[in-house]
Amino acid sequence: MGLILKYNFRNLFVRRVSTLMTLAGVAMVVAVFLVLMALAQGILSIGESTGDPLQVIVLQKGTNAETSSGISDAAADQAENVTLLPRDTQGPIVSRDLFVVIMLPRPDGGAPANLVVRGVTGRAFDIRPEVKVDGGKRPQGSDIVVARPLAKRFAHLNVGDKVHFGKRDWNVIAHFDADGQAWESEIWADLPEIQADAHRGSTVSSLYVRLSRPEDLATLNAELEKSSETKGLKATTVREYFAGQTGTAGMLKVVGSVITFLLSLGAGLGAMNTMYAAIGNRSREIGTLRALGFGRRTILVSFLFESSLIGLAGGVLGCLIALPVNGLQTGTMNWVSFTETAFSFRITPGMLLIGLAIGGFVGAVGGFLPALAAARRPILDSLRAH
Amino acid sequence: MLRLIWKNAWRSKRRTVLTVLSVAVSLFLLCTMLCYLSSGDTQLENAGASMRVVTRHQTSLTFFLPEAYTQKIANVPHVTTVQGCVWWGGQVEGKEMSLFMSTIAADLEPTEAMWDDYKFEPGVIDKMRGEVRGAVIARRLLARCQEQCGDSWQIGKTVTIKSPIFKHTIDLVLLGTCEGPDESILIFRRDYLEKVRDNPGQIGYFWARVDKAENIPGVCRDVDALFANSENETKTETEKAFMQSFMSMMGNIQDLVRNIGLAIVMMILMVAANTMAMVARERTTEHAVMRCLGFTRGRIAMLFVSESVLISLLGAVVGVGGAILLWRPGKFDLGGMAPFFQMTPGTTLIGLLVALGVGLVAGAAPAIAAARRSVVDGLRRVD
Amino acid sequence: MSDVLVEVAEVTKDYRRDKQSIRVLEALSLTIPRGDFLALMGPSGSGKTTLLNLIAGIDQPTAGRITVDGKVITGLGEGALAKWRSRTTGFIFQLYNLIPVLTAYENVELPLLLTNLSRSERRQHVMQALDIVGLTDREKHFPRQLSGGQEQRVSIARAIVVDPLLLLADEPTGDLDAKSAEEVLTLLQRLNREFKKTIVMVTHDPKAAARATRILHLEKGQLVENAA
Repeated sequence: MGLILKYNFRNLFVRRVSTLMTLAGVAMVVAVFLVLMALAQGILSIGESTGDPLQVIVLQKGTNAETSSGISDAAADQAENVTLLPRDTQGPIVSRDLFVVIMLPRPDGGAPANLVVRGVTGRAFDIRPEVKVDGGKRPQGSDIVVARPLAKRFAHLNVGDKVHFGKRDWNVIAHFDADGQAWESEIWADLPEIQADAHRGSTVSSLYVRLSRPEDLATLNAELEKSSETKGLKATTVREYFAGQTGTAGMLKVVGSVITFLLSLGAGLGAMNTMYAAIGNRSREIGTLRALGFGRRTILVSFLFESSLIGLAGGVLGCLIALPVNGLQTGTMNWVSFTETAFSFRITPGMLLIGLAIGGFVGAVGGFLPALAAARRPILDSLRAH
Repeated sequence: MLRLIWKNAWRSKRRTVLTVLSVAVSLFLLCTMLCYLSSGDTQLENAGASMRVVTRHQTSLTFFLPEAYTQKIANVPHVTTVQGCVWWGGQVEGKEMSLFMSTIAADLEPTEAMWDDYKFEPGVIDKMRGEVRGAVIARRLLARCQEQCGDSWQIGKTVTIKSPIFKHTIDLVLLGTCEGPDESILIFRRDYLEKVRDNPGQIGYFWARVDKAENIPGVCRDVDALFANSENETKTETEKAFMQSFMSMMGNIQDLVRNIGLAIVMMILMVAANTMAMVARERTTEHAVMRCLGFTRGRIAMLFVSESVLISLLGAVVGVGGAILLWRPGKFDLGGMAPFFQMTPGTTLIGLLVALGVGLVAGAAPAIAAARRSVVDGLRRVD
Repeated sequence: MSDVLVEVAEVTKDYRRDKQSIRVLEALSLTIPRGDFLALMGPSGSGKTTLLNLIAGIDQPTAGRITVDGKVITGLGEGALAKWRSRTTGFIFQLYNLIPVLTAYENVELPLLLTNLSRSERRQHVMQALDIVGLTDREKHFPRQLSGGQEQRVSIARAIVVDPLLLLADEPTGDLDAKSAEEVLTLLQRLNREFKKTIVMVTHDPKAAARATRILHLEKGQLVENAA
């Protein structure tokens, strides 16, 4: 069989132009597929990477987003009293966050977009060790820290800039990274300043805590239920909370699959043309192989192999075309908070494998009918053709 | 001459059919994606013609403005009508991601004057005056809700709607339908929302109608000047700018769609060029014979390119034609997210031009090669 | 072991062309003894190539029966027939039909892929076959780098590499110049005499036919026997 496959392989180089064009067509399909899936994966990975099983967010009951949640000072104080929460010398390790949506212009003067300002205390950084601010700086007074990806997407968010939102100018003192977690779409400011600026009194949107064991979540909810102050609060894992906000990804996957399917059809028909021409030109060779005693199945398999190889090579090229988008920053609307979420295209090894498989599959499907025709043609007809 | 081109094109029926189908499928996809782009453009265009401006809190839409602003804005010169609105969002339990709707709490009285580009079912506003939970729903949204949620969505029935922004749920009595540019809206009375929230006097954003188009910039300026340095500063902009900022938040989807479109065009080109290269190879001898018969190089090249254009245009007829048949106005709107998802004359033209371009390019390279080859060479190349 | 290798019994072959049926062979019978070098001659359309193809098992008769080495090959299924061909026959084509993308060595090796021989055993067989046709120095050449005569000799090597009972040659010299044709015919003669190969050769060239031990004439699907 090895020699027969070598035969098919070498023939790919004989019809170089045809092979290349077919291959490039398949590459387009695979590239489009990968880019769309990388986009969906990028959105999904915010949900997947944000928080860990131990991180918990406490929201007002009945809301499913920080946007609409309000927790009074008294309720927050009471919640902090729950004994199972971890403490250090300064008391319970609980981050009180205020979630405010603001609108900022684009750097290129394009239409402005919404983004999140999170009012935080020092505790926010204790709960989220993944947030690393350049120089270890902390927001205070009018000084704010900004997620690095935002600097490119909005105007006036470079370090040293003054940016106006709410009722005054704020100083951007540092950028921060957060391992691709949801915080990478946010501006972090001093909690009391934001509360005052947005007229929220001493209300916060959410409490973030880190439990010592996953089982503590149920206990925490039971404890919250006991007090009249905290009865209206509910804790869920941070992971679950953010996973619920990545609905766009599902839609993208559906759209991406439909587009890929249609494109595959187009490329498959093109591959079919190429393979029909290939078997047409090599009719006598096929007849000879048959006369030598090679069976129909061998011919079928060998031509399927040939077209799959074109498809697979197209898949490889498609992967190479798509790979540079990996890590590319972009943004999309979070349909829950109507704010822009910054994220990067993410290509996973699994996606590359699927891309290669699609390439090979398109080749195989396109090659099937021609290969079948080659195998079924009577030997004499094959030998007589020119 | 045309007969010869036509006959040549069908010499290898299978190859031509495969090529035509391949081009057709890809062009169909391209047109579909262009429909999405043009939907956004049409929305903006419609908004551009609007005489309405929006006033929102300067920080962002999530900050409320006081109800007292209604009268103050109405007093600004050239403003004819003002309507206070609150964005509710609108979600149906269990269909949070799949059912998209714009549920808006609005002052009832200015509705008809403000939204003159919408057709309200006769008497529906009257009925709403008599029912505090009354609501008017876009006809297409109603149909979509019926599809997804069943018969509980009927005119006269009461439906329960959640919000991604507020923790409350509201029960609305569907009193009638309306038709207009936005086919995803569900409008209910703002006083009902205040009752539910028990927090009166808060307005999300104001719509204000301006008497003449040339007064729009002035009104925007005047309204914002009115509230400058107050507790709640405002930002007033045209309907088009308002819509653009929403589109801007959708991210670079438009760019992405354009790039994918480009990839599709490349793919069509590959398939078509491959076919024409095969044809050229097969006809090498024949072209030489035709040259012997006195055909000029140019004429043979012309014949060949015409054949290529013919094949890709046939693909366009099937692909673009399919898109025209399938994406008729009102047939499909991406679940309400692309209200003008339809084949416009512009999109049709682009589809045909792409096919024409592909045909020309795909035919040109082999044609030039064929024209350059000497007669003797061509005759010798018998394989 | 009977000394008759091929027995063609009452074989009729019809071809359908459009809606007309054309009778190419009419109740033809023929026996070929082992060690024979038979030349089939006749004008075009006489059915000589058809007869050759039937004996080679790449075509099936409309009626009648063909037996080779005691095995009835008529009515065998595709797979069985392919297997039989790979073991029993070696075919030599007018246009050589070498695979352009494979080297001389690889072309000769092809039929061995259908056997269970190991790589080194295959190498031994291929080199032996190339040695018989005198082309061991050309093993790495591709067909386009060879002359017509050399190509035909590679094709003969390919035909004999499995050591078949029966060699079938369809106009083996039809596309060659006189000198190459001489070489090829000498080679075939040697295969017949030295290696005791039974050969059936279709030709319209009397000079080629003269090298055979027996000549049969076909006309309109009927045999006209002449002693050589």
